[in-house]
Amino acid sequence: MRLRTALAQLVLAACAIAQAQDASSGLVSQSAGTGVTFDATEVRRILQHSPLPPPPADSTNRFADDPAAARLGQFLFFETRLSANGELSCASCHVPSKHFTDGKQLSHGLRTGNRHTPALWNVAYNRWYFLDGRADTLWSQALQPMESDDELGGNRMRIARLIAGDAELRSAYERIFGPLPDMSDAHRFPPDARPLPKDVHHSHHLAWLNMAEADRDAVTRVFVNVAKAIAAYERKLVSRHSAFDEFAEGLRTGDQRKQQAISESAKRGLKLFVGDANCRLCHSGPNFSDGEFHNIGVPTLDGGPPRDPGRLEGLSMLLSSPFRATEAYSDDRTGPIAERLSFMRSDPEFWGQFKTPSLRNVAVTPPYMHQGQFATLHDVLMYYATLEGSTALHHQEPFLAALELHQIDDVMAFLETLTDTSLDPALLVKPKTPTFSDR
Amino acid sequence: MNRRNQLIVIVGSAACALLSACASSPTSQTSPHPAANEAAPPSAEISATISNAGNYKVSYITHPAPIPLNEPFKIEFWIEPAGEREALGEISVDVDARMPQHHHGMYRLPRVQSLGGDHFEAAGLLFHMPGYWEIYFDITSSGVTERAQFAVEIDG
Repeated sequence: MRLRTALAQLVLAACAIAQAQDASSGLVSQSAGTGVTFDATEVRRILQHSPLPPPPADSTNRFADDPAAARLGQFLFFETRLSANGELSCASCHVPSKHFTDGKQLSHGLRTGNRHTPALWNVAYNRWYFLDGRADTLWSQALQPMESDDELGGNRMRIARLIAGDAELRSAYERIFGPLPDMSDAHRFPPDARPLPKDVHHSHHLAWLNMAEADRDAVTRVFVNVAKAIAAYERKLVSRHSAFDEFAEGLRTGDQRKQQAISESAKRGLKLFVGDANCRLCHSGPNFSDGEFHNIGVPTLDGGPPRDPGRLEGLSMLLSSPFRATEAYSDDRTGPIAERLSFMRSDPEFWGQFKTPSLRNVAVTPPYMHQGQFATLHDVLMYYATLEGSTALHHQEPFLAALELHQIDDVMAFLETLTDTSLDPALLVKPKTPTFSDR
Repeated sequence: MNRRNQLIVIVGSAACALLSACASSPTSQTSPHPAANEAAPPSAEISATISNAGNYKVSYITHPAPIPLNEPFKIEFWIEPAGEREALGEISVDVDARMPQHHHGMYRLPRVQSLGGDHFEAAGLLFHMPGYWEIYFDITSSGVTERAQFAVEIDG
């Protein structure tokens, strides 16, 4: 009798394992709602897009997941004193109420830039930063806008002085990063200084050259720590609970109610997304991006030939950056991010390539493409379907299959299911202080 | 080997031109002390083919297997003399991959190192897109390059 019971349990266990394997591998066609069904391949592909796991670790920033650093970083994200005119902050272009972008075609800080402001949702998942990938970590990305003359136009010397001269900022900083350098000697530490190798006669550059190397390093470390704090805040801007994620969960578990989380039109769009429309060629994985670079021949904003070198220049800038993962300001110079750099290659085909954006929250972050060329998702999909106006030069990628108008509507309906802008409201505003002391 | 996501197609004796550019690539790895079959490849989970001019047999396995979409992987491989070639001799090896239908390759340059004799490893590969990829093993000896080529379908 015991043997029979044991055998029965064994059979039941085997069946359970087999069912689980079927569910996980999508070997069985599954119905999803009333009209649209997905075959095993489609189910498997759909489940590759959800759930989005927690953000990957960033060992180059040992403060990446430090709550106190994130709090300071959030304060600094909204801090207009970082800018040359005292009026701009990171949040001026990455506007929280506009899903951390600005709704404009081209970014507009102190001057109008030549590229669109990307949204910051799920920025912690990126492999490369900026549209051309000229930074390999989130913190090294955050450095550049602070000193860019198109953006905040600040300089590291003044930023270090700001931190040292503001009692609250100084206290918050030193609790996390340790003592600030003594910058009281105005001869050693001028009001404004930064390296400007492309403008060697600039007063900031000359002041920078006049500083002792050790002093320059001390100031740069403060600058880097400011960026590491901002990165710690930005890592919290995660979106992974969309209607699509609920649907995928339903598909994974067989929960019919959850499978109703998206419309029939969206399911048809999803079927195209993972199938004939080829969207997943680039928008792969749970963050709907391969994290790499492509040239899809989008017409330029001014109608002229494409002049932006994109990834070709971005990689060159990255490999000469003193802030890349292999260099002195990284907290892990031999880890996986640093190792990745060792395999980089440059190639003429990188010309005009831009990073594949995540599609999470894509419906609420127009306009689209690297110059905001397309105002609506419909415009984007029409471009993919027709290639109207595409630049002949440097077009090296095959595109989506031609879609009928009703199919475009379905893909749009699916993309709208990727919206999840729920975030702790406290993360959307400048905190009263750079520490948790006001709580 | 799990073939559900990865269809290995042995192209065998693919007609490939000699690639002098590849021969000078920094990925080249010379095998200074060649010896036949010092570390025999495992018979299972292996794909093998003969180079275009017939002088080398290349066998390989990936780590992990199957090749993951958009994640780094390594290739462990073996090169043996074939045809009328009796010994491996002094060779250098380049490994690369392309998506011919997309007119582009990997965004990374794999690094090849000798594991001793006929045994090698290529690190740093990453297939960032699903679809048809070709993996190239370019073997150069005395200025002459032969290619062993494999086709791989990455479904992700």
